[in-house]
Amino acid sequence: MAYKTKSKERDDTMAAVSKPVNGAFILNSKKAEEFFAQKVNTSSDAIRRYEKRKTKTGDVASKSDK
Amino acid sequence: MKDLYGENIEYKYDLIKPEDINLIQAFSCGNENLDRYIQKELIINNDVDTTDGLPYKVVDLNTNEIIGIFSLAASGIIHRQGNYVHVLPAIKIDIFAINTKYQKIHMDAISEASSDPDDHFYFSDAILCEAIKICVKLSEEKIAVKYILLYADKKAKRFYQRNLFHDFADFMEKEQNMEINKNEPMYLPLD
Repeated sequence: MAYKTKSKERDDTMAAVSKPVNGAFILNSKKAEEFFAQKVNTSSDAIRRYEKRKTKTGDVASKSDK
Repeated sequence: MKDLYGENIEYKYDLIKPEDINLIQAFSCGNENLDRYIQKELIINNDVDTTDGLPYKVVDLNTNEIIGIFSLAASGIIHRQGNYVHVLPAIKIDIFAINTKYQKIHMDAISEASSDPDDHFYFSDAILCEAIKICVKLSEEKIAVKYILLYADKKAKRFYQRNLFHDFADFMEKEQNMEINKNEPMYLPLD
């Protein structure tokens, strides 16, 4: 078996600090409306920032085995 | 790594496999706890630990060194409405670690020459972008996911802000916030 799940606490990872909710974030109900109404940058903006850099400097080589 | 720019580094990423153990043991991101976990616990007895996420490695194709390690797992934002509980599906980045040798490498000369920190673009930004792209691809082709979540080490918060992650602490239930001492909850909506 190549991959295994084990229960062990460790520091400095998301799981270590969010055990009570198993890694999830709990949204404060009183602030939900404000949260959903926000206009914030998204993954498209984050990727666009990278792509913009690539077009300035030429292609950045990366490959995935997937 | 002097005079090296990120744009010149060829790399690939793939899931960590048991046979990567020697590469893993040579990896250091400078965080003692994380290094100990990665070097000694991520692969044990020919098994890869996937307890808190599926771990990926990013490998330099020229040196065969591991540039970075990140892990992804299913998660969510829990939204209570009266008696109902909705879970907004998310992917968490549990680990994001960059080899010390590859930290603070500017992507190119333009970034290095810029006096405006907001115009800086580091090689580590490109690696985080690869993780974001995996999440986007999953959300577009495999499973409905709306957010990327992570807990940022306070020292790394600026890094994630530069890559357009947003603070979640103000929206978080206070009780949960008390569990967080040295880390900052952050999120990025997927679209």
